Amino acid sequence: MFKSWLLRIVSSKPHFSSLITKNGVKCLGSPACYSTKSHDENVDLVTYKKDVRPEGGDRTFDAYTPSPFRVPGPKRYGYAIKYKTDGLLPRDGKPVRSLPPYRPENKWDSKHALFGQNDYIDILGDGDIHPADLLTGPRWLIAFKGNERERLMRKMEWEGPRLKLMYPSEYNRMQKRIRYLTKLYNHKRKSRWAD
Amino acid sequence: MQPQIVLTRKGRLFQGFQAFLSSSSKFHHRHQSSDSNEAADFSTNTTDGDEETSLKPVITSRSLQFPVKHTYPRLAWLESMDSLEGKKLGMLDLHPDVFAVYPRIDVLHQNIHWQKMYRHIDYNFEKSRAELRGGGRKPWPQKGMGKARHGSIRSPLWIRGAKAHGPRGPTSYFYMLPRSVRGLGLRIALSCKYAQNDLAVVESLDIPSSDPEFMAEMADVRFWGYSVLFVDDTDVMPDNIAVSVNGNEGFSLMPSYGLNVYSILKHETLVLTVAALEKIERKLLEEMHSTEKEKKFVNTLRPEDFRTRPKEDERMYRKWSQPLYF
Repeated sequence: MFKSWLLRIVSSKPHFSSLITKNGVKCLGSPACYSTKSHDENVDLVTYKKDVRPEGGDRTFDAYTPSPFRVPGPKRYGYAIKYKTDGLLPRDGKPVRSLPPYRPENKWDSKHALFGQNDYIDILGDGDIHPADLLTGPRWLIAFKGNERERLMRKMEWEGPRLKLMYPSEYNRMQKRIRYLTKLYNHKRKSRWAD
Repeated sequence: MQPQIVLTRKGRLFQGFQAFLSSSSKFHHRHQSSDSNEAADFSTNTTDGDEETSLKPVITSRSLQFPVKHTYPRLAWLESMDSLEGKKLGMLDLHPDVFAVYPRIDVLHQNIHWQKMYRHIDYNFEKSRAELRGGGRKPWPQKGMGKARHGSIRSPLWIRGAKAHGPRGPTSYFYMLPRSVRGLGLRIALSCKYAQNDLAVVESLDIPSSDPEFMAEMADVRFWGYSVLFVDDTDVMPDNIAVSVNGNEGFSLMPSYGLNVYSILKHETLVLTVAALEKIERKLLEEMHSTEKEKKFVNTLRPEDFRTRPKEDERMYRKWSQPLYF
């Protein structure tokens, strides 16, 4: 009765991952099991208890049919390192990021060699030119020194209409900053403060 | 750049010491004559033949403005630039108030600091926490989270947050040193150059060849330093000297009104023409003895001063074909 039930299972052809043949277990994942012989032979799908239990002191599992999932063959133990441990790293065409190369300034080019020329032109010249007349930079900052609020207010006088038209965000930023600095300087800070 | 003034004895003729040690009567007589208010003994001999045959110096003395009795005028050779070695054409008197001033290093430092900083504009700018994008919302509730309390993600404590007291926009460091301090700085710089044997007075800057190597060899033969500053009276220079100076690194050419403490100390040797020497000495002595009260510098620039286009009348008004009568 038990055997007839098993035959019924074998006769139907379900999908199975391994075949229990008379020669042994063959896992269908391995190429070894794709042979013509295995298809013809009777296969056992499930592990089941054997009727005859062998006597044995060792820890053998002969009382059960072998697992169909165990792939026979030699086993390798150990750990394979899958990263580089030496040698140059591959860059894949991307350049290595590093500091720019040091290029010392030439202290004897015309700009550096003639630095400070005409600074005493009001003393050594005819007296009609002042060195502040020769300064370059932002127009509202030439020959002017002040704290941040004073500079912003001067910039507002000089550039305000143009900024309001062309750069409203900058205009707004300046307006807010002047307002904030006025409160800061007058209500929070002492009268003498390095800005 | 800190100037190092070290008084060392050099191999060749040391102008300053020579005059001080040789206190012969001939020298004293000449000094007294130049101190008194006499007409200038400026005898310039332009013809070359006389120089070679007569072996007389071209310039024997020089009258000084604002003469001083507590010290003696310093002496300097007048050299020529027509050959490598050059000929000594005479001896010049230098005013002690310009070329024998006590070397005040602090005044030199003040001048150099002023020259560096008064034109400096720092363009660094860091946005504040109000100007950075984002950071308006409280990131998480004040209590209950187990996290530190914060109000915005752009506070200085946060990564990618603002800088609390960072540089703010273009900053200028402009200031003006008093005229007297600047004049004194120039006089001290010239005195240091004279005392350290780095001053050469030359008849004119006319050199025979425009080859830069000729100039380099001339500087080498005369023991002028790596860097030489040539100063002439006007800003129109002969071709040869301009080409030579351009070809040599370390050599600079300047008119007398461009002279400044930084350049004097940057270049090892200072070469003045007689005309430039006269002008510089006169200007510095005038500044020293001027009784005008110094006017404080006031910035009177206005946006209108930079306007290039003429101002157009932008008022919008209607043009009437006939006059209006009310």
